[in-house]
Amino acid sequence: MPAPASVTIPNDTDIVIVRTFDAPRELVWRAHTEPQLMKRWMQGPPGWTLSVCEIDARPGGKFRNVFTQAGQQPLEVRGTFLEVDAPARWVHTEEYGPEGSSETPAAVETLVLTEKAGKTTLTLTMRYPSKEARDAAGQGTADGMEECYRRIDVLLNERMREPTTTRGR
Amino acid sequence: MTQAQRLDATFAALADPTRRAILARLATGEATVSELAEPFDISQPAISRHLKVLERAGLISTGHDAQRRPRRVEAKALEAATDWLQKLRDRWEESYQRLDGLLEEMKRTQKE
Repeated sequence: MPAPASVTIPNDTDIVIVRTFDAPRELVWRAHTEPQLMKRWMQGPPGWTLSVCEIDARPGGKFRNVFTQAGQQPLEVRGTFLEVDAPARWVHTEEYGPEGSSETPAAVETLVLTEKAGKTTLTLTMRYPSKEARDAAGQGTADGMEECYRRIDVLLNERMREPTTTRGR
Repeated sequence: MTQAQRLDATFAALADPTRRAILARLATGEATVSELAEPFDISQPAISRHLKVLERAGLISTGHDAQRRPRRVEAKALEAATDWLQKLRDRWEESYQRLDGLLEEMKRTQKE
């Protein structure tokens, strides 16, 4: 069994994941760029499934992942590839929600694959615009995704109809 | 509630600014519903609803004093929720272990 993934925060804006796989990088690359393969291993929060996966891994190409769970609003993650150098590296923006729902990318993700003696080391760097954004996203992703919790919270708020703006009692 | 559901509840509870403010207040010591309602300038029933969400998430508990029913912070649950790096690692590792299995399969297919 390969050693477990390491997750670090080397500075204020980044989350860096490093993991080694016992396979050539060509295969690791395919598992990250071919939708039918992505669906086999990438999942959302517990109970969620990656039901839509579209990847156009070339500079300027887009990707779109939709995670779904019965009775919940789907969670969409999408972005645009800025750099693609198969099977070694890609850089893409990351946004949440349907097309047009956010003005600026939530993050920029860089995937680097290096191969040595038939094993591939993956380094995934997620860069956020600020420390606050990074910590919030990290905390959210830790147990699902930031967006997912925000939606749950919106639902809770709607159901409870909290008078947070109406003053007095 | 499973561990995952509990964590879902924890983060949903923490996503609200009023509930975070209530937690911050309780971090300084236990307080009753009316004591909590005072600085927030919202009704006691509204505070009670917030407290219910926090309690369901395991973030606070109610003291034994039946009359005052003071609420207090459950430090352990809060710790678990803030230790996100560790959990982020577990989450990715879970996916990557599935990827390990897929890669083994791909290697076999390639050899054939």
